[in-house]
Amino acid sequence: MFERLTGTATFNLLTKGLDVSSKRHSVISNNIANVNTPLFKRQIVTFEDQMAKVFDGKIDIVGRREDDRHIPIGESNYMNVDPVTIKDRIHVMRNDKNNVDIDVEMSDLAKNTMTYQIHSTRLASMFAQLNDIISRGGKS
Amino acid sequence: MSIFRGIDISASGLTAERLRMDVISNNIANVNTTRTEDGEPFRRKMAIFQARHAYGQRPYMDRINPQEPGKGVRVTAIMEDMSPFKMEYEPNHPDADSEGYIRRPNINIVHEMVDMITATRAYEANVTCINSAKDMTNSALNISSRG
Repeated sequence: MFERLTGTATFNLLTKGLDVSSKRHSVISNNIANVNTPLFKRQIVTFEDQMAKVFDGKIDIVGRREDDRHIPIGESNYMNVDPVTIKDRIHVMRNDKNNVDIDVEMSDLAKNTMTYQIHSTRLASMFAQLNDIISRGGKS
Repeated sequence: MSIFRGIDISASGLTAERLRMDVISNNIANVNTTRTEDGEPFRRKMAIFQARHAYGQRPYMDRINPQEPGKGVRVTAIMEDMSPFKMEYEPNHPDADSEGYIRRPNINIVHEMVDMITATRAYEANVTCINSAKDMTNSALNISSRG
């Protein structure tokens, strides 16, 4: 019934954006909690680059998957692009082999929180529209 | 995945930094202590931090599937600094040895002060994280509210 609103690309992308921001918040929190842990290596969440490639159609090779257990090669459908957590083991600039830069993490945290709020505000206004239609529909 | 996981992770950071602050305060309080229960001067203590990975008792899983963010930090041990005591010539002190030297704790007060600043700043960073998590959860709650 509501597929024309809830099944649109905008809706799906906003939902995905919330998922990604939520996961990224966990990862950034973990980096900050371990800012004084020797040998700790920071984690980062990558998502936007892969998503941009899908939208620009710049995927080189896409492997056709006939089974869920197949290893995905490339991705052509934006709904299947998932956030990927990777560990940065290369860049180390501290004596205790920890590579958390608190300035980078705090600015990433601020950016991530704002992104989350933008997505949730947009989503809320889409539901507000739907509410409006339901409550005022048929009335002049 | 719990919506409060971010807060739990930062809370582990708060606990660890507060414990480190307690250890540092104890070091500063005992900077002149020449007697402890085992007869030695006070030894400087250090909180040892360890990252908590996502898989509890199965650390190898972290290599197999590194997708999960860790679960924060914990203090695994409070260990003693085994560096030598400071020797001072003070023959009138009751704890002085036969040659007139007294052993004082191996605590450098400047070092402790710097550690205290890092602990405070790390604590504040974790508080900021918790506040961000609260803002995010609040804005998610507003998705379904009317008006």
